[in-house]
Amino acid sequence: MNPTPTPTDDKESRDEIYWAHTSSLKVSKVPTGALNLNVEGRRLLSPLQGFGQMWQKTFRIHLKGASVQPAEVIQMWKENFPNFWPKWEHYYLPRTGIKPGEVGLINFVIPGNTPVGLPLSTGVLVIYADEESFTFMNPQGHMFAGWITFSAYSDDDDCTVVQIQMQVRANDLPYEIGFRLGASRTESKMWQRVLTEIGTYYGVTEPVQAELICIDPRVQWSQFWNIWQNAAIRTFLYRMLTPVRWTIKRVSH
Amino acid sequence: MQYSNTILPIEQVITSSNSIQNGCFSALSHKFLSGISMPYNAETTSTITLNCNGLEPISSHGVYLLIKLLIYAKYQKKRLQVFGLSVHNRYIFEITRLNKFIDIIDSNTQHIEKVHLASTENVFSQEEPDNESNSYTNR
Repeated sequence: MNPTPTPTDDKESRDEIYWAHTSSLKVSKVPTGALNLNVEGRRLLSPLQGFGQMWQKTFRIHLKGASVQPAEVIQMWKENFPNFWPKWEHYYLPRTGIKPGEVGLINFVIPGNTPVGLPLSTGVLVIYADEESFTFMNPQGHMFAGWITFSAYSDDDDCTVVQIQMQVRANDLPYEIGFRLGASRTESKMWQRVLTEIGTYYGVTEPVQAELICIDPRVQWSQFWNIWQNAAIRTFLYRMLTPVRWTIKRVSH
Repeated sequence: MQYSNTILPIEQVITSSNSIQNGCFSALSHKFLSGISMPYNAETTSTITLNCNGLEPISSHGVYLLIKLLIYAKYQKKRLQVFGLSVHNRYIFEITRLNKFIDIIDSNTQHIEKVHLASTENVFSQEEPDNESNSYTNR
């Protein structure tokens, strides 16, 4: 006799399609102009596996006066995700869009608020995506260990609220030093700017609310060797060795 | 020192926080976290167990809350374990790497055996204290 499916079973089978079914990153096709480095085969890291202090950051904007539903906002955001990023940071959308299991490539420079700096190539895995939210999880070598959720919902006044929430900790010691020296502030400003841009897209000029909570103020020395995968160091070395690669390529042809 | 079971239905953890609202939640209040340990102070409990029987698919909010609970447990020097996870929720624990920090057990019986074993080990470790920290302990 087959057991009768329970409502929970039903919800689970529906929920399954929203989750990625892989725990390591695999890029099927590299978009033109993107550098696919520090991504292929990298494993995901939860915020518990990072090195630095653990932070929960929440940014939200109320789209007051805009008659748009949460699902519509998320649909638009998924389609135009790179357009809301700072101009000097390149986010390469997965070929099939933001869907569970897809990988996005990120090429930018540290500290992040200027067009010049230390180049960094990394990526993110879309671990969850439904109609009203999507979540990225970061791989080894990324600045952060953890995840970031982009969502939209209706508040009690039926106003659509757009939210970015992350639970992260710096992946290794150099990143942690960088964050304490101001990169964390720069990064927070970046997300606030993204929400401001989304507000502008819908003709809203509401201020962005920010909530920063240090969940775990201690660093995890047990994760010190995460530095081996540091994407900034590896990207820097990769760039430095470009002439060598170029010469080898010329000679071999 | 006594060691006892602490079994919490996970709904209590997920829904007790009145800060959970449509699609967002703020930090668990200190009061809420204290509430978990209130009947079981740190000296008498070594493990917090969550009963996940009948739990709906865990959302990102649930995952965020579990991370906070893990940090809380770490500070209280307690282990966190769950039983009654469905196949899908078990997968969510795997992809989010929560399974590396939370003991997943199959049944309550197994939980009781584990707690009993832990209490026995703790009695021995009291007799022969060692300073070795586990991989999850901060230095």
